[in-house]
Amino acid sequence: MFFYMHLSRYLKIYPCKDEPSRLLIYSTKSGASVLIPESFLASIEKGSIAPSDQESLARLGLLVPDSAAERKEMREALAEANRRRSLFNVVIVLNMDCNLACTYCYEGGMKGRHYMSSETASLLADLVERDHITHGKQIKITFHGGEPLMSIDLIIFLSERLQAAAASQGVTYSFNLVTNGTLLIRQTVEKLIPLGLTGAKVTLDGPRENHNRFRPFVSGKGSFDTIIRNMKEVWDLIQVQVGGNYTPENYRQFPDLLDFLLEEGLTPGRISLVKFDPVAKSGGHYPLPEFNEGCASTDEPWLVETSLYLREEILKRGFHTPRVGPSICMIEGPDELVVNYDGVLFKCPAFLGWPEMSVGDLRAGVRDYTDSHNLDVWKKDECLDCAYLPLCFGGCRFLRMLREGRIDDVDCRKAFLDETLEACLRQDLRHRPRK
Amino acid sequence: MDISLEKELNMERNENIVVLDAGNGNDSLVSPEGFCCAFTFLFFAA
Repeated sequence: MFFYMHLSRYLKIYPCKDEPSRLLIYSTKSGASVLIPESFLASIEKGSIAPSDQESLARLGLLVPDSAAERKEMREALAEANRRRSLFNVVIVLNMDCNLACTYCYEGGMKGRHYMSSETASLLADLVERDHITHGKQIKITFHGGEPLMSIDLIIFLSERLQAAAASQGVTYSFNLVTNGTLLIRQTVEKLIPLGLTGAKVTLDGPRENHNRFRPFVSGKGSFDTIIRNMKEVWDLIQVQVGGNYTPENYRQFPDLLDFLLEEGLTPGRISLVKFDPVAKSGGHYPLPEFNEGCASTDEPWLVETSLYLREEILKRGFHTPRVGPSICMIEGPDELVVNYDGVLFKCPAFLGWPEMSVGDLRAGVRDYTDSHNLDVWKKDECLDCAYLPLCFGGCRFLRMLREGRIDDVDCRKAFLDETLEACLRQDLRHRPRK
Repeated sequence: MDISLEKELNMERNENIVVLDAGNGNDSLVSPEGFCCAFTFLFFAA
């Protein structure tokens, strides 16, 4: 039986510069990319293609039987993903202390010798066990700081307890670290692996001189060589990811870091992911008094050039970087939580400087944050009809908060994606490893 | 990405459709693992 099918509304169609008679079609919903003759698109729109072609395009998510149903399905997509989710993902801010003195740290004036107490850690373990492990959720923790490895006793305490609780319920427990990398020595990693450590994300802000300027030790000494030495010690034990924060003035130096990593044997097979991001403006109620740079929006024009340039430099050296795909704000997931060192709960680590954005504490639990976080802000016609919706779902709520002081609307990515998506897709198609 | 779907569709030698990337097929709109914090780079699920 032949059903007339419609083009999905979540498609981007680009002409091919080198083959003018062909079109590149990308589904933001399924992630599929195809090349078709331009004339074939007209046939699709008229419904005059062969049933086998129709079936192929439908399987790729490019054709749908009912446009209105697709829109409705998109409206419920996150709720459906949340229903199917079997993972509880918690970011634990173990302390606000750090052995580095980064010039732009977004935790800004919150920093100090503030550590999670053993009482708070016990309350946290109680909550994870009671509300998540006993409900069959797998547990994934990201230990964050400050510098999480300055609280290694707490990492061990929480992991021993939660690993045992998870095992008794037949669910998995694992954790990773967002660390500055200076304390990530082999002995520490070997001690933490049996407790569930799988990976660490370290930050390198470009080559040695630039990194040391932005991320020195508290003493003023550079931290670059220490981090590189540690990465070389642990890459064979855990997945090591590299992040880096750039400004419009220094981003052109970042490829030198990639070349340095290759020279040092930290090759794509030994680094699981590389991603560079612009330094964000510090904000909230505890901004850094002396740092007033950084961006608060993807609309800043320099971001188009810098993000495409750095992505190409990463990919062409064979390193892995996130592909184009959905980027869904953590606040949309009920099984996503951030626990501050004092037991106050948030939905996103970037909100730590905004007490009014807390969603509860370990004693009282999570309160309803539907209104305070404007959860359904993207469920409006403008977004539901936007081809980019599956890639952004309202964008980054924190950036909206930084700009407007409240989440009164979406952090619209349309202008940025108009400028970058096609180039990113072509980068992915050109560089991705073929199996 | 669904490599097998991509191969299967291209093996059909369809002259109209060249599948460059099968994506996730049409299985689900959003992977439950898709949640992340772009701001703080918590991409461990990737």
